[in-house]
Amino acid sequence: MVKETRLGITAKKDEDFGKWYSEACRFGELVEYYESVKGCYILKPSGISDEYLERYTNTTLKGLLQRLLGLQELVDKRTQGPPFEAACMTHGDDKGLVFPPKVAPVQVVVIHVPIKGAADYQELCDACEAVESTLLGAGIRAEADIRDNYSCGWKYADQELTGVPLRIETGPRDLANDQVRIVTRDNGAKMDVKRGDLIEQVKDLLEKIQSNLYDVAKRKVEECTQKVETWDEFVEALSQKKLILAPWCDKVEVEKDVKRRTRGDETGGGGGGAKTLCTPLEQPELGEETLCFASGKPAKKWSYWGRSY
Amino acid sequence: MVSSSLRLPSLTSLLFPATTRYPATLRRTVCLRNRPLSGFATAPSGTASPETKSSEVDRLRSDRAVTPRSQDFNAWYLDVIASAELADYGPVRGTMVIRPYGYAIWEAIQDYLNVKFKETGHSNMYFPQFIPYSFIEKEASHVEGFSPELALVTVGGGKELEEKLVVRPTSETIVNHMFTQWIHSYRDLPLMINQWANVTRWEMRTKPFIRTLEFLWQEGHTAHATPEEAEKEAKQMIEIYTRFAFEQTAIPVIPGRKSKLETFAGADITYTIEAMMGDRKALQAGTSHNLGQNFSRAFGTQFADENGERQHVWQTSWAVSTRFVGGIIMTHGDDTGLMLPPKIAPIQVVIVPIWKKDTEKTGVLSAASSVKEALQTAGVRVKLDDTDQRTPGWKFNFWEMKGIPLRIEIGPRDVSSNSVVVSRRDVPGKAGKVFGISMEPSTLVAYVKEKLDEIQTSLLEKALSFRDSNIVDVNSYAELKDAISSGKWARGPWSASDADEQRVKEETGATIRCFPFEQTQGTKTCLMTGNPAEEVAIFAKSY
Repeated sequence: MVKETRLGITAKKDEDFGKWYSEACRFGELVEYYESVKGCYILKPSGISDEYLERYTNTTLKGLLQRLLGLQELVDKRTQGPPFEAACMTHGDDKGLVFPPKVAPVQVVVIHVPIKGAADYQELCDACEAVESTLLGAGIRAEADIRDNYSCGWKYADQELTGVPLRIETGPRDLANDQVRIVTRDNGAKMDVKRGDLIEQVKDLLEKIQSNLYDVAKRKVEECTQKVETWDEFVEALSQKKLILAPWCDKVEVEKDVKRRTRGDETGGGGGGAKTLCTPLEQPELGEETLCFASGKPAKKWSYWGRSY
Repeated sequence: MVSSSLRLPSLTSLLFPATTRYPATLRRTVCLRNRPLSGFATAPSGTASPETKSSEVDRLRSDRAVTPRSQDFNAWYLDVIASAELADYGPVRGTMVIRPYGYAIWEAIQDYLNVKFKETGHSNMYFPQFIPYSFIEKEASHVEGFSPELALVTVGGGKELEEKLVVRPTSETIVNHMFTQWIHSYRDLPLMINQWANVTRWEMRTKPFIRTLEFLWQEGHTAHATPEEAEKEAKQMIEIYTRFAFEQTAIPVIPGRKSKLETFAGADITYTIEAMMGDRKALQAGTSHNLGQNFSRAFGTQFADENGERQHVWQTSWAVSTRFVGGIIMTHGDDTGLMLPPKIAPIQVVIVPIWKKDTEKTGVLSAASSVKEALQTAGVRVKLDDTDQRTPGWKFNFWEMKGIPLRIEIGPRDVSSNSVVVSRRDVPGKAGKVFGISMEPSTLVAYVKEKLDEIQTSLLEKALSFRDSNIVDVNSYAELKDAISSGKWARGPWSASDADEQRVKEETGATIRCFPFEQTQGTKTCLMTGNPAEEVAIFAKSY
């Protein structure tokens, strides 16, 4: 069997979400498939940051594992995903993972950019490790990548694939100018920073990335959510893969009916029918004359609806 | 008033009086029969009245919730676990439910070791607990060593499985299965990982924390390019365990090498830390194995070296488990109950407010809250027991049984003099009680921290003294037998055969615990054969 180059994800997030997710987890070194026992996965070091998981997501290692064992199901229940997987699914892009700095096992990777055969090779390695030390000393989770058997380009792709928030490059010119180049994972922005300002700049950038990822995700959720009040609007939104907020009469038989009516042909989409996902605690105003989008009876509450298997 | 507290005698004392020697067939099941009666093993209910009477305190103290160690060490052990609410029996024979207080001790162990593992270059990860049976069969001595203890899954999803699955007894096999896929070049080495997980071994003889059907542990697995590097790693990890035992749990373990007979199935060398329990039996508290190339040859775990040649990796694996919690209980506990070293105690200080009149209550509770706040802010793990459902005397007994290192008492007189009374758990009665400690935050914090350090040191010194006074240096088999039969450990030169070692076990019940790293100089003669011996071994009965 030909070994995969592991240099990139082949699936597009918007085109084949399930495949993209599997590739992002595997190539991002979060899990490894365990073909001997179906449904079991190996959790690899990048996938576990116990203290951060517990602090930021209220997910324990055990809880995470239980969720991962239902990996395929999770892939297709985007809005129901647990927070940690949500970090992957929400923030990933076609290059791979994009980790929010607060839960990233490695927040900064430092890469040296030698000119082939240059005499300053060792100097660059030392500079890399010095930068790593400086950042670690400031409580930043940094890692120097000075492996000599991979090209810079490969290392850049590896960093992007594994979702490390910041990449620091240091080449001969940077060395001469006592500076480094910083590249952000979320938007590819580049900037040159003096070594003396490094800690402050890195901390500032990590904060900005965290905040930016949140804003982007929030906007995306808002854009993907649609409020509807009629069956026709509902069907249209469903075909557009929206997260739908609709008023309904809260009857079990009506939910079953919606599921049946949205399965297969009628909506043009494949897979299972739509069902309620949750009823938001914060309810939009429900007018007395608002009718259930599905049954036409008086509506009792708003719920989120989406497709499931 | 009539005391509402009654306690039936322990089943042990009824069925097996202390003077009776258990028949061999019954000895194996004694631990099951010794289960404390629920409701009676816990501290008795006190009256609602906050009033304290000395006679009532005496009465409470005379209600033994814990069997004395000298009477029946095993019953004592089980009583402590039940009374201190560390663990309980699961519905499946040999299983254990770890309760919050017991789990907090395990968490203290995890917290320390996690830091040490990462400092030395290891990453945590997780492997599935289902392993194809064929994996176990690949390494001959591994399958021979583990077969009797395997739990198998033969049905899944309502159907017979094509291949039966083993519930993880340890992970060397599945680790190697994955290593073969991840390791290709010397540049991929060393590969250093650790897994915190549960493990299942179908034991015939069980004991909470010490030996259970399922237990929690960490297992480290590393792969290296050279045998020297693997050996260095195996030694490093047993050193980490040794330091942990001494510095955190105040247990003076003896680090050393296992005999060939006692070496882990599939390992070339097994290093161990051996601890002496309160009944002077040995507990293997942690192990680190140099696996050589045994698993890499069986699984084909290879790498390309710097010359492009294919080589098998050199490996280690190392582990400590919830057995360590049992070790802490049996090392430091006394007839009052549990006694915890401050460094790993989930609660280091308990505050007991004392008032007689309602008019005193507010002032006392306010002072108690301030003290708690000051200690907590300073990083001390503190609990304020302000419930008025129990008398102070009841509380004293309860928290002593739970092994809380320090108790702070605050009564109306203390409030008016802006001071507190501090009692040490490890020094009973008035000798361990100090009056008039200033309540001023920085003074009190400094005092408390100093006392916690003193207790930690004192526990280690006591354990060290106990250990050393119960090891006998022997020079002949007769002397060894004498030492073992008097309940002690024997230390003597050994270079005899496996068959001789087996004979010692059959005739005395003792096994070679280890060849200590710390060896005396000078010529030695084997205590068994009279031949020259290069090293001294330690023999003891064990758990």
